[in-house]
Amino acid sequence: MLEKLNNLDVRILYVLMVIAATFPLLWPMGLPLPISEQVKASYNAIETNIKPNDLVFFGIDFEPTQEAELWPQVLAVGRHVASKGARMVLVNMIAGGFRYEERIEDVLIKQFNMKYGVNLLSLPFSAGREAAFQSIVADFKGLYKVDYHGKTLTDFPLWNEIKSAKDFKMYVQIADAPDWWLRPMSQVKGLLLWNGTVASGASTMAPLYQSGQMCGFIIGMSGGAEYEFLTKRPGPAAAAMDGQSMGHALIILFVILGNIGYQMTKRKEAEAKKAR
Amino acid sequence: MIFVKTQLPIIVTFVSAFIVVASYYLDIQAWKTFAAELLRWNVVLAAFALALGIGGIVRLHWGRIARRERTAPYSIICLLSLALFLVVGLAQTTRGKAYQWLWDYILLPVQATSYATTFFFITSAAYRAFRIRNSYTVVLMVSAILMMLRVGFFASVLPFTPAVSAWVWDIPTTAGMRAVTIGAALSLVGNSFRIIVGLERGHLGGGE
Amino acid sequence: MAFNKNVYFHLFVLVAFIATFYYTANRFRRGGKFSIRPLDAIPKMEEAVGRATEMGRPVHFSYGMGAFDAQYFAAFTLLEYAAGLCAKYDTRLIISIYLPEVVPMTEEVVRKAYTDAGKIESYRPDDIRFWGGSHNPAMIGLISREQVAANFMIGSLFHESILGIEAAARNNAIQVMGTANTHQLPFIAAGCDAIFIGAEMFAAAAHLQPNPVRVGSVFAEDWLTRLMVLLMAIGAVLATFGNTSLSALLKR
Repeated sequence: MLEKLNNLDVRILYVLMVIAATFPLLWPMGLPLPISEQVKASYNAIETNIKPNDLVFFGIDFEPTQEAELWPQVLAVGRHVASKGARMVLVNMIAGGFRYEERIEDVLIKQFNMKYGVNLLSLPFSAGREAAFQSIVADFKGLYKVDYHGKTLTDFPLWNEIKSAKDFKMYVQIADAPDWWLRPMSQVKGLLLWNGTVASGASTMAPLYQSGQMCGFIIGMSGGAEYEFLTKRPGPAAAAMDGQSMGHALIILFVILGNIGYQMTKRKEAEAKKAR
Repeated sequence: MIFVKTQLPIIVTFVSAFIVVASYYLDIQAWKTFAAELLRWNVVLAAFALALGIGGIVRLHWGRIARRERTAPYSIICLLSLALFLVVGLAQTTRGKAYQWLWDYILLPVQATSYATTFFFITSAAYRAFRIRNSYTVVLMVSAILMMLRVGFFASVLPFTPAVSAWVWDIPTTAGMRAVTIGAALSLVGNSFRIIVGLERGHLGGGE
Repeated sequence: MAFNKNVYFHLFVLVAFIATFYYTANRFRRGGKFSIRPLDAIPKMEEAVGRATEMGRPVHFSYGMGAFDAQYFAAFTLLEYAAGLCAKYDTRLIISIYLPEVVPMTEEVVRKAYTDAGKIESYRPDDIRFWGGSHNPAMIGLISREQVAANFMIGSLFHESILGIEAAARNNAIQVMGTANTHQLPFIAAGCDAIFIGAEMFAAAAHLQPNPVRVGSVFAEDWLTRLMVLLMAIGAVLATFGNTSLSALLKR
């Protein structure tokens, strides 16, 4: 009987997972969410390093597929940087990320009274990924002639104040775990690097954070949720954490049941072999 | 023809790569400026590659429609969607209301749904793969469960799990990943060197 | 000459690699003998194609959805190997591609493999499928519809690795994957029959088609890795006693 647990129909698992993940979205459970040391350190990296009028380069580099994990990070971290009075330049190197750049621009203008062209600027999409970042490092002003909205950049006071990538205090990159941005940007002396990434990308970026090449690093929806609590603005990530916790609990349960079934199957086969 | 297909790409690769790589090691402003210009050309080339992709998609699906294959209706939808985005995008740019509507209400939910299949597949993968078969699978299973327990609700219920999983994360996991990253990076140096100097020509159909 | 003062160690690594590469390549050219650790994934690929042939089902190959980098070049060699096997055994090979610029290169590689096997008439350009942004659902659909018996995903893999693993697992396919992207290694290690971890993808090329260039490169990479390990060990001991001179030297 228990051997059947070894070969459960995966559709049963899928249905249970859907219920576990969506139930808390409809009826929030309010499960506690402790803040990890890494997220606290990453929050403090922005809190202590960014002063009013500092220039911050804010990269939004993800496709709609990663919206659930990374958009809450963009909101939470973007708001935090804006609340420090920093001047922000938004940039996007992934074809699907332009809408998020537009959305965060709206949020920053409406909620923080940022003035476009004075302390906020949005740059358009550039193809080439690492090559585009290399261009930013080599000749920042040569790469961009117009802003995201198609207007000439030299019309904006903020653009005229920037000479090169070296003028930026920090580069905050919210992206799906590439190191293709870090290789070129780490060449800019004095530029602090801060990264928010998806959960599966954490292992790639972790050595770079540990070695001190990045000053801040948050991971996935849980990192976004913890950051939201630190900035005292719980948002979409915090709302979804109940579902994630339930999903994890169910996966652990399936793993335990699967192992029970597997061990029973092995025992039965051993007994059958012995009987022969 | 052979010159254009094999030797010319190798010459272009070598010259442009040498200029860009050398600009990293040299502190000569004129050289850096020229290298930056080359990198900008690369950005333009990458944009043209997207056009190449469109040609590939049209070729594949038009062929299916012409041959009236079973999946031809899906190919028609694909080409119509491509045409719609192309026409609306060219007419209005990405900042136009219609384009943004298409993006927000069609493309975004479709892409998010496609990524959401990972949610189901991870579940069945975990169920299938995390079995106690040998010592390696036990380590894999225990580490995976520890990582799941370190976030969210579990971290408050099981107070020891954040510390234990943080140790597993910071020490063996990161050390292993660092080793793989260094090994892969050195291999990338080797491979890139061979491609730049023309010793690796597999992508040109020519071996070495 | 005006050298950039901040990258001396990087220049040292590059020069050390080039020097070691030429030395080992010349040694192989003269002696012809070398030994590379056997890679389980290569015979597994042959087993997978053999099994697909017996079952009359196709083989699937994908590079993944990563940006175009050196991993693709390692993948080309392994694709040529897989295509050569499929040509030899008259097994259908279907390739899923995400990046448009890779399509002509893939066609060249596969055409060459079929030509070398003397089976150019079996080469089907329509089985080289560019999917673009819809790579993942298209790949899952293809694997399910065509009931692939062998699934190879080698290159810059992202979350499509787990999708490919599960889709092919439904068909009990033999799966071989390889990537240098560390974030996908746990998934492919858990789900595949054999894998190439990072540098093994590049070493596989030297294993399959040994020549002075490839063997020299693998040996040079190996020696440099040993040098890095030695520097890490010395640095760790020095740092334990509060001496950061090696660390400062390497930052130059």
